[in-house]
Amino acid sequence: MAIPGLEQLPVLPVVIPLVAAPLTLLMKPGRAPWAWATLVSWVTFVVTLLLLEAVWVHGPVEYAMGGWGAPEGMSAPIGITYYVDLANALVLTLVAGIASVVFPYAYYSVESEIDHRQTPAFYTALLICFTGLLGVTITGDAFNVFVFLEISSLSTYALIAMGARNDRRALTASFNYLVMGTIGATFYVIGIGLLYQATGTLNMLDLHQQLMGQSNRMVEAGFAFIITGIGLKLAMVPLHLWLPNAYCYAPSAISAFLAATATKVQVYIILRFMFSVFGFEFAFLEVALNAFIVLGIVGMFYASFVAVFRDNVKQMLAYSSIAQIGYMLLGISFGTVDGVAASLIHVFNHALIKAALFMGVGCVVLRLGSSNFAAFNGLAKRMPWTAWGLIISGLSLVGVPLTVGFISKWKLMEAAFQTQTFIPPLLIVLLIGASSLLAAIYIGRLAYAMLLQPVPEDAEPVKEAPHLMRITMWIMVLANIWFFFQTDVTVGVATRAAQALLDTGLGYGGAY
Amino acid sequence: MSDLLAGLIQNPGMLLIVAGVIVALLPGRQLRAIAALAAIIGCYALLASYGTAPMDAPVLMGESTLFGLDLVSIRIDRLSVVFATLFFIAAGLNAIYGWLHASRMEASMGLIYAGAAIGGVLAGDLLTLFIFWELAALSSVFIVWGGGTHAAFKAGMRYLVIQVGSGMALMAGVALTVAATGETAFTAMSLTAEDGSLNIAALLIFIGFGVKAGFPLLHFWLPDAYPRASAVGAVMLSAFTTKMAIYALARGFPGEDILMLIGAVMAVAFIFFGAAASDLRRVLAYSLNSQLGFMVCGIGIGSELAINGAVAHAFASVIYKGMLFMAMGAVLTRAGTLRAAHLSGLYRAMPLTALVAFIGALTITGVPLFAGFVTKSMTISAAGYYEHMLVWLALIAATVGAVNNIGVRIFHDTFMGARSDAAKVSGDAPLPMLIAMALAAAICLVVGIQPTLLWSMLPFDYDYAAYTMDHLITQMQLILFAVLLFALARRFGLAARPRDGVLLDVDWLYRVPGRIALAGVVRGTAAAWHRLWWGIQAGVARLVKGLYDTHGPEGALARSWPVGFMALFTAVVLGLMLIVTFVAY
Repeated sequence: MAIPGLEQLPVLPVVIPLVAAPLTLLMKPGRAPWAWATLVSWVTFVVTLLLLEAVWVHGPVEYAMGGWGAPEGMSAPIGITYYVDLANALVLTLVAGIASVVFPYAYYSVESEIDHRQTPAFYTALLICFTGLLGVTITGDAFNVFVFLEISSLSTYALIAMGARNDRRALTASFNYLVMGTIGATFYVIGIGLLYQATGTLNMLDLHQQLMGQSNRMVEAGFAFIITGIGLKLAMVPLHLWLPNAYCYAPSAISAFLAATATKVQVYIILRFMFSVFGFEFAFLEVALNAFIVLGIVGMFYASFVAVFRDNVKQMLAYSSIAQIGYMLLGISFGTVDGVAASLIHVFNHALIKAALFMGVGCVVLRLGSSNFAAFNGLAKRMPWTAWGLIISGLSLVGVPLTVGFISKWKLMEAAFQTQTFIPPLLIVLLIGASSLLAAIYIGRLAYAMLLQPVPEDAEPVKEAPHLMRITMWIMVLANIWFFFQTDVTVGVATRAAQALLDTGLGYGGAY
Repeated sequence: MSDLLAGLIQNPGMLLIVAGVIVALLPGRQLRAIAALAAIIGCYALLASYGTAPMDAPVLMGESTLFGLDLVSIRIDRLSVVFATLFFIAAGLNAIYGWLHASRMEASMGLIYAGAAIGGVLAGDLLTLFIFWELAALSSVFIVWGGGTHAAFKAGMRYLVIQVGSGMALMAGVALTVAATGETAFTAMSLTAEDGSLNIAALLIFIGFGVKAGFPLLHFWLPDAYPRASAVGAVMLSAFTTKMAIYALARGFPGEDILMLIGAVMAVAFIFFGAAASDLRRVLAYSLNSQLGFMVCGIGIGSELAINGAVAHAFASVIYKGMLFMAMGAVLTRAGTLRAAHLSGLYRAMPLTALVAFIGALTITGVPLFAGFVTKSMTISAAGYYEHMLVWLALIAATVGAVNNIGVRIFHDTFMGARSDAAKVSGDAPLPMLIAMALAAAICLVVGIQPTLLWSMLPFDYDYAAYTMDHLITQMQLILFAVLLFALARRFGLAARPRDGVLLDVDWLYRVPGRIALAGVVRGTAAAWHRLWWGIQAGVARLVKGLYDTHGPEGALARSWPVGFMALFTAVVLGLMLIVTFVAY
């Protein structure tokens, strides 16, 4: 189905940043690459918004790359297709939206943390990473997912390594991530290979048709490889070990961008494969869902406990991200519309929360040169805007009403009550509650340091972060409040998207 | 969006919260105090403009929906209005009391905290209630931290966890209610479902309320946190959290039988702990918890008179308990300590504060002409009228206990007698503190002399005569008997003046009916409690240490592992996945 009047729209979110990226490399170091990247992110954001609206109104959109669609009499297209339904339209909008706020934010932070001469390369890598994330989300071709996954990963390794100017440990963090990310991608591509062997197709919709009723060792092994591969990229416990250091030592703007987008895109891929490609007919899905409950709950607690004891705020937030991924897995594991919707809602809301938090930490790193807890002592007096932004988004992480975190938690609890898993629903709800207590502890610790600890006596006076950083950070903070009141976008879209995913999973075909 | 926001903004509590944020940005203590007082008066005017409505025909305002659930921002009826009015009075007194001494944080968070409590009692549905419930928890923890010491930080952390835990229990209960019925309305519910089984949703909500109401064994945050706040902060804390929970119980669980038992235990048990405490504000905190027992009992009895009694006592209790906390805060401000063993003879330096403490003692012990007399006798009468003998005895015992804890320890031992070194202070309480205390004392007297003023605000029309010969004689006998015991015990040296604040200073009270047995009970209870408490503390400390060893920066679970190990681990996970797949099918 095409969109009347805007037939080329689905390809634009990938083409625009992809074409823009190499041009950035030719620019003079300084303002120009930054301004260009920002402009590109804004244009892309507008395009994704149009796409979301079109999908909401007209239903899923299919776009055959180069016109290589399905010939007469064949079900599968010959070439690559892009397939956009509400689930990935929502994630696309999210990724582009976060980029359009984080890219302008990056300017001062990058100026201080990265060699001036490297700025064109930095923004080039950033745009390529952006392209990769959008491509992974938008494509309807399983192998194309791998290609974009590698595009985004390779540029991410480079971006994380650029943190080495501040802290040499960024190099080992990046190297570890490179090894682990490559293993993950390899597993994924092996899994795709096995599926191709079994079905002879790489198109996701066609894969679903071909796999219906097939359940043999090859498909099962393919499934295991794909879930492990994506699980690694997703930082699912116990495959999370690469994440804390990667987020901690990356340049601040990169931490904010990756924490808000990279793992979220992987959650989408897991959803897509579990429900759209394999579906409930596939017997092993149940086993995987049960495994996700356990891994989700273990992650929620284990990572939160680690976060409580961390002395570096960036690492604390990184571990908190691993715990939050536990919530998303838990939502998926319910295998219901409400559960998947809760997971998608949390994908969206957690992106807003973590972007705001990492941006706040970036402001502190810019002015005080450190993200250790000691740097946050008395911050409310030294940098009140930053401190209060951190507190509000921290409250959102805990799940306090009037912030989006509450919507996530509420929806997850509501979904939990309506499930039949091997763990009693009430226990799951109480565990969700208990793990938010842990979030209250580590955020409380941060709030106490900022509000009530005295400023160190020998501290030199500092200025607030530059206006640009403060404004962009506060856009994210206010978004945390705005989307509490405006739940149409999150709850409305996510519920319909989940409905469509599960309908496909149950074999009814795409409802939208 | 706009409905929900528009609905919330009509709630005077929400406006007060907004004002709290603005106050945080203002320079200068005076300006902040003036702004706070203006905001309180303005928001109260808004509440007053909504009027009031009878219990069976509430006025609902600010209706909206949040993902398909109906929210009602404001419910006006006589139960909600009387609590909201009470909280406005308390907020006003707090603002005056902290005129010179409230830090920026306390001035601002105090307003937000008061606003959350007001919003909570006005909330018309469970979700809105939860919103304000959480805001009250989060704003008040900053007030605990405002004490500024490391002990205050740790107590604040414990307070935060237990308060957020209360919110989680409430949220789980609400989510279960919504999942089961699709309704969010906050009306009376029951712990037993229609088929006689336990109603889990109601139980979760009940536990959520119980934590904030200081139910026994769920209460420990209260005497832990309140004494560690600053002079101004403790006054704020004493007013809102627990009374908000009392409101929620009165609304949600009137006539729930188990509440009578819980309330009776609270009323009696905490007297012993209060008598044992050495910090004077901890004595007050335990005494506050014991007074909450009166209200919980009244709600448990559930008759119109009993509910009226509980509400009236909540009203009086906020005022006089706040007043006592103010007096102790003034002592802390001047003397710098509140350890009972170091303070005596303060009346010479602080005569007006001594007078306030005296009025507070007269009120809490229920001397006629003071508010405590009229409000306590309602609940006690309700217990008697409805033949709840044990409850009646417990409430009588609690009254006698208050004579010791407040009359003797807070007033007599602190202000009278020989002057201790710590009591040689520069002067009486600062003027704004005195004004706030005087206003509170005036309210105690007005309510005591002209109780019909308060009666007209109570939830039910019930013609109750407080000043009957019967009540006067019962109450005066009780108090005079207790005072006589105290005097005799001191005269014959049976009760040494408490010096170090350990337990034994209670026992004069219980000598006549069997000194040894009762002293044994007191000691035994306290010792058992201490053993339990220390056991829990040691257990928690071990647990935290264990968690730190495994999850802390050097722990195995949080270390940075070499990349080879990570890769190996991935292979192991893949292997497991493959084995499970192949074996399972």
